[in-house]
Amino acid sequence: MLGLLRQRCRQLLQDGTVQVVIGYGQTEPDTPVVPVFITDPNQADQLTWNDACHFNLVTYLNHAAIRALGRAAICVKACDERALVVLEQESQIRREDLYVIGIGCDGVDQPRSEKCRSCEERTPRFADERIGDTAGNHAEAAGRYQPLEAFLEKTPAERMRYWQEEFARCTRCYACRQVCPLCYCSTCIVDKNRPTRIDTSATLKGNFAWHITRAFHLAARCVGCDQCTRVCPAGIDLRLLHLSQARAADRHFAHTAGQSHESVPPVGSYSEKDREEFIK
Amino acid sequence: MSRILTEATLRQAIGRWLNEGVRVAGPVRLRGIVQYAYLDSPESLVLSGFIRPANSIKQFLLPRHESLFSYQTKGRRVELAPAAAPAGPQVILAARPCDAAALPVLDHVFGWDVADGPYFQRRQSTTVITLACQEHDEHCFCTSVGMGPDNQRGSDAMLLRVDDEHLEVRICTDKGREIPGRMDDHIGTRGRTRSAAGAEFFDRCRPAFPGRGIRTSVLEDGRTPVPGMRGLRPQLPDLPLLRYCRRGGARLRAARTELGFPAS
Repeated sequence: MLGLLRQRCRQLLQDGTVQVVIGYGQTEPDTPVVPVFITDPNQADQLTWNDACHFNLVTYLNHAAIRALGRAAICVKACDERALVVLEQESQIRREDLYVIGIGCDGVDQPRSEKCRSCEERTPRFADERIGDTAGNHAEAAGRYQPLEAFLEKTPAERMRYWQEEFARCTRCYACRQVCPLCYCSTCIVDKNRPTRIDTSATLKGNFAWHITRAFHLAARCVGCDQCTRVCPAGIDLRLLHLSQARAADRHFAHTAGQSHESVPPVGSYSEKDREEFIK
Repeated sequence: MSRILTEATLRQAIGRWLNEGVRVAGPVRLRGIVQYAYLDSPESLVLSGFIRPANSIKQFLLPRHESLFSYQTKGRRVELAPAAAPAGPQVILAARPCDAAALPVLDHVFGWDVADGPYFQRRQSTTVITLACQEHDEHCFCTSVGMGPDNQRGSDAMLLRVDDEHLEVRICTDKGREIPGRMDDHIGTRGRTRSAAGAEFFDRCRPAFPGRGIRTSVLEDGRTPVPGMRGLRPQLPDLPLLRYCRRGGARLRAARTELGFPAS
């Protein structure tokens, strides 16, 4: 499978289909897996695939430096691919400018990360080509919202205390924003300072404002790639915030972000049939 | 100077410090995440089973928020009064050597031209005892910035694990020298020499630190703990702060020298 991946990427670069391949790679043997940007067909052997390939490479599509390299081929897992669908629906990428290599994935990390345990989709569906077999889609996938439901069993006061303790550690490094494929605003609301809309100091008040604002900006958009939770140096479980938004979109608008091109994103669309009885 | 103590005696010493009103901070496990926090009991200190805590020790020297002064208006006059002095002595225990190495850098930032009062008051009343690393993960990079698992920069004393039960104490500064005195009742076996304990430590963790070479200290008898490491020069770190320092003229070059980086 790896041989085929490298060979196809070499071909794509050689015949000029794309100018850069965004993939997972190791620059030297036995070094950690990192995102690689391959422009030289001779370097295609740097590409790799294993269960340490947890990055969501879709994030890099919005980087000016990457765009400047030319037409890109990108390696995506089924979960990452959902971010591509949302970006396309939001007119952030043109699908025809992109060559998508879908990689069949049986989960990342040992033990499998939380999102993989409830993964229902292992093979990318909209890719230009698919590489790699999987053990098939999960029949017995644990419920996606299960961690959230367990959390919601706590009383509101307990949950408030939980978030107070968690957000107290946040240093506002903004790694959660930087790694997010859907946080693509050229000037983030937290960086706007005329006037300052969100307190930028790492106080509890400012941290609540930041994380709640970010969660709402990702409402019904977050595809659950869990990169924000993974990169958080303070170990804050941001996934819980995004799951609660995803569950609301699912329940009230029957929408799962990035699941299909046809499902209209609730944010940015209007219908007189929109349900409103939950607005109090 | 080095001594051996058992983990149990270390915890007894923590208990005594806490009774004396000394605040002791160290890694504790809170809701499954290891974090630096003030200890409420000697048992809460976590010494193994993690790579690094989720936060840094900076918070004990530079809280995110603090009162710097208070003011009072009297008629048309405003009277300023300095805030109360930061709380008394504290010990930061089992900090990672990489965390401690940031402290000399902070000292320079806060003593650049005007010495920052509250910061240096805390700094002077704080003793930093680090615990040398035996494990790393793929995100660790200390050996790429001239550091190493037992680098003593910023430490007043360093603990090295000798076996499951014993820790070697290496004294690094005058402040650290007071520590054994304060733990004297609790010092255990002294049979092992520093070099034996040190060599054993590195024999154990050498396979865990592959690749770029460990910058290690030289043992008392002149041997390097890891054979073949003699003369190994650390890579010059290329951090934004240092690039800035390089541009900054003689005073900043002096700061670099003082921080122990080789002259470029």
